[in-house]
Order: sequence, then C-alpha cells, then structure tokens
Amino acid sequence: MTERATLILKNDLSELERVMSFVADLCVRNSIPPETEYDLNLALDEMITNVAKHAYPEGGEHHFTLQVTMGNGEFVARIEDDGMEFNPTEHPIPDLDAPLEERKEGGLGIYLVRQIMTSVEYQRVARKNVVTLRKKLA
Amino acid sequence: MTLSEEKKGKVFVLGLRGKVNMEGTKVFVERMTQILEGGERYVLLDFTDAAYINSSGLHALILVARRLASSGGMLILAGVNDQIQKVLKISGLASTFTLQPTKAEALGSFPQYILLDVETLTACTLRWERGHQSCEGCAGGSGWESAC
Repeated sequence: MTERATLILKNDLSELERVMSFVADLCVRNSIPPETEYDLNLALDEMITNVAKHAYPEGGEHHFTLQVTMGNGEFVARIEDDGMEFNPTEHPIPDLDAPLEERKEGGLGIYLVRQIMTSVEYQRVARKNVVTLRKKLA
Repeated sequence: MTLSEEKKGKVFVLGLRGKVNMEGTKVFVERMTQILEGGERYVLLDFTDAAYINSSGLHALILVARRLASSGGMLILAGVNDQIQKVLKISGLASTFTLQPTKAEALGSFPQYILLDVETLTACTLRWERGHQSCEGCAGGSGWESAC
C-alpha cells in the first residue's frame, strides 16, 4: 500500500521538528529500521535546512512543499520551492581528504544527501526548484 | 540538545544529550568556545546519549578538533553510535577523531597524569623531587614527570 502526504513548510528551521516527527510516525507505520530512519531524517534535514537558510536571501517568510510517498519498497521525497535556483546534483563535492586545518565549511550536507539516498534528481520547473530524493527500502 | 559537564583531572568531559543538529550545534559551539577560551586542552565529548548529528554538527566537531590540535591538546569522542559513525565515515572524518566505545575507556586513553587531581599531582611532584623513580599516584607512566 502506498502512503502519500504533503507538508507545507515555512522557510524556518523550526519546521524541522515537525518534519522529523512526521518521518518518525511514517517509519513506525511502515516498520522502517532505525538506521534507515536516520538516513531519511538526515537527508530531509540537510535539504530543508538548505532551503531555509539559502533559498530566499532577500528574507521574509516563504513557503515550500515537501511531498512524501512511501510504498513499493521505496521512500520518495519531493521538495519544491520557488527560491533561488539551486541544483544539488551539481553542487561541488567537498574535499574529504583535506587535512583538518584545510577542511572548508559548505557542501558537506548536500554531499551526505547524495551518499545516503539511492538517487537525487533535480528539475527547474516554472521557476521552481524541484528536488526528488529516493531511497530504496530493504 | 542538552549538555552535561564534569572535570576529571585536566580532562573536561562534555556530555551531549539529544540531537546535534543546527539548533543543538549552536548550544554546543557556544559552550565549547567558552571552555577552550578558558584554557582547557583535554576534552572528552561523550556521545552516549547523542542520537543524531548533521553536517552542522560535523563542522562544529572539526572546529573543536582544529583548535585543540593547534594548542597541542587532545580530543576524544566516546559512545558514538553506529549511525553517527557511519556519517563520520561518509564525511571522511572517521580517522580524524579518536573514538572510544565508552566514557570510561575514553578517559583511560588520556595520559594518566592528565586525570590526576591537584592534590595527587602535588604529591607526585614532591615524591619526584625527592628522587623517587616511581609514583603510585600517577603510576609512573611515561611523561608523568613533565606534568608532575
């Protein structure tokens, strides 16, 4: 059976609590193991934080959507925002081999998302960023 | 996220409870800055009750490690769960930090004289100055004389 839900989120980090609570409930209903729940939480945390912090440099309150589908052995999250154009699939990968004193901030969150999800897709549709995260479930 | 604190000799033990996310990281960085500016050089971060970390938490750890490295200090992480270890590994940070399974084992990883309280250190110093080659207080481990 497929579950689908859409959350309308503000560009505010306080929304993360609501998202994590939603993911926790979803994982309980679908018997998702803790390590997978961690991955789903982390991916959404990083992507939503990115929108909240960077999508609207002019400031002000904005809304964006998170649509989650769970079923057929797959978790799919679609994040759609009308903020600044941003393609996470082309974001530079941080230098993971850099010595401690040379490690730069930036890029690690998006990199983690790309590593822990099965796929990350991006489209620019009608001046909106549409990011689709997929994770195959065991 | 909440923090707990204790001092074991010269080791500052900071316990993290909850999520090391954006909000938790702010709390952590603020307190760690005070701790390091206070001159602490031996830090044990106890992750036993920390369930989660994200990229902002990882960056905070990098900053702490960097600062301690530049001051000749030591940083050990204890009780890091499997999920957080996986995130450290993906981020290329698994070998950056010294990890120990428990707080007790982490404390045992510091040079033993670091864990001595002031009274024992003073007693060690007196015994050393009197020519004793070994010191029961600090078990006479290597380097003890430089601290004692």
